[in-house]
Amino acid sequence: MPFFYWYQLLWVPVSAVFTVAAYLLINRDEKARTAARKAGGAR
Amino acid sequence: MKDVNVPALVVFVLFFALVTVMGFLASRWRRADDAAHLDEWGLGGRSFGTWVTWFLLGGDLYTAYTFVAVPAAVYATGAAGFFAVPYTIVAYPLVFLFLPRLWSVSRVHGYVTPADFVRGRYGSRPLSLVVALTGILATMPYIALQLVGIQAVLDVLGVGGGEHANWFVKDLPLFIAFGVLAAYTYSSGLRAPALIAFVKDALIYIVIIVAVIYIPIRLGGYGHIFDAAAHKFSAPKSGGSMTLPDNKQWTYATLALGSAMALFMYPHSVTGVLASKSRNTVRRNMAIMPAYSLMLGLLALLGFMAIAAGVGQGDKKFNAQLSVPQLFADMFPDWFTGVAFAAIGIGALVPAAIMSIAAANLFTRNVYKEWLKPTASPRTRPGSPSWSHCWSRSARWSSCSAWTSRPRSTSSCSAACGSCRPSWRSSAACSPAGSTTGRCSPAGRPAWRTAPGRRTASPARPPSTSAATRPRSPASARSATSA
Repeated sequence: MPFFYWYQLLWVPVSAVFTVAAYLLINRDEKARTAARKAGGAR
Repeated sequence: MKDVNVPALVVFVLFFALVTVMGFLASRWRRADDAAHLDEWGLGGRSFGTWVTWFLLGGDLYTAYTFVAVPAAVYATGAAGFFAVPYTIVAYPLVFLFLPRLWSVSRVHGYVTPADFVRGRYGSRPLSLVVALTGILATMPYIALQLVGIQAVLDVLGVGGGEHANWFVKDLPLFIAFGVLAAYTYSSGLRAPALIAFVKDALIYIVIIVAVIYIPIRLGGYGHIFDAAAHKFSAPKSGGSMTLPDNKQWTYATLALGSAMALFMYPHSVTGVLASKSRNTVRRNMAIMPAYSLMLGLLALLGFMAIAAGVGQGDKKFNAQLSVPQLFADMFPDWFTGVAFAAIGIGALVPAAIMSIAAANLFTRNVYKEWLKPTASPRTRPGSPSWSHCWSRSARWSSCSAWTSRPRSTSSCSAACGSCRPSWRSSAACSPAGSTTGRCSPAGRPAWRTAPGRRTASPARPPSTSAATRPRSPASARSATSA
């Protein structure tokens, strides 16, 4: 398979991995913020 | 090609009948209490979870264009047709940035269409009209493209009468297909394509996996396929190439990037996104949508397989659009050809239904009601016979402008909220858990209703509710106010 084709197809899973990583990081951040806000509200 | 392929036609018609029944039954699927509302008809109650949204968006974005036109472009031009792959690679990370925000803002203000958003965000009626008209104009050829896809399949099946039939006989199957589509879309709204999308995507994945394994085995491997394609494009005046010539590289890159940026400007994609039930559902979907891109890449390679299989060889007038259907018909046993064609046909119906819904939403909300007949009876809206019921209730909610941020958008808010607010009480956001929070309960409402002075600070938050008890996530409110 010529480079032009396999290289672009390779980027499909690679970009998916990056997006999943971004999703997990944002999720963790939001959870941390929510927890912090709850802790603040309890005072 | 003139003979009717009976086993394939039987399988095709069976699948078509199945999805028709599903389309009509879909109106009972996950039904909320207030089925008359536009959120119910046009956005499925804004209640779709991750998987439903994934199938819905997949069914929405990967259309007959993907199954027929992309491989056809690869078949005809080689590398240039492959632009669809980088396009979908770039699209999801790009929209990952702004779609969750669009979702939150639309949820808070009850926006249904992109034009609603523009109206509320910029407070400009003409701009909103232009966005609505552009959306409708862009959607119509896209719907037409779906019909071309169905027609390509029907042509290869042998129904449609061939070249010598008159236009009516030729297009009759198409009329029937579109009539059925219109009927179940009218009765079930967005739930119909969402439910059918499961069948569609299951079929498509089966067909693609079989195709990329079985066809190369019959044709002598991928090496041979690429050799055959290279041989075709090495001929002078072949009109294509295996890799991009220097002067086409920027065209290719900008075409991919531009298409990626446009993807979620299409009203039907926005409809699919707004139908999801949470901000995180949207994000999660952007992360798992690339599974479809992989499928798209494999589909594009079918164009080369069609070359290697000798589809249309020696026929100067061969229509490239028919290359993939013809490849399937040549390669597969008849019954599986029927399955493959059903996949393409249903794959055209699902997006056509969603596009019709999106265009209908745009026209009724942002053109007809806004400009032509502000006093229009709510019954004139599509798909909801008892619309007035919603309207009358929504009047009470028009005071929602008190908690939208910009005074200048007060009127637009009441227009947008007027049509949508009631659904909050029946949709997931205001399920029993939500209704105890003051946001939806009668007790909580007057609190912010009578607080016009709150228009300035962080207004999307009703004063009577605390961050912890609001039905939507604090994050969504945060971004909604900042956007």
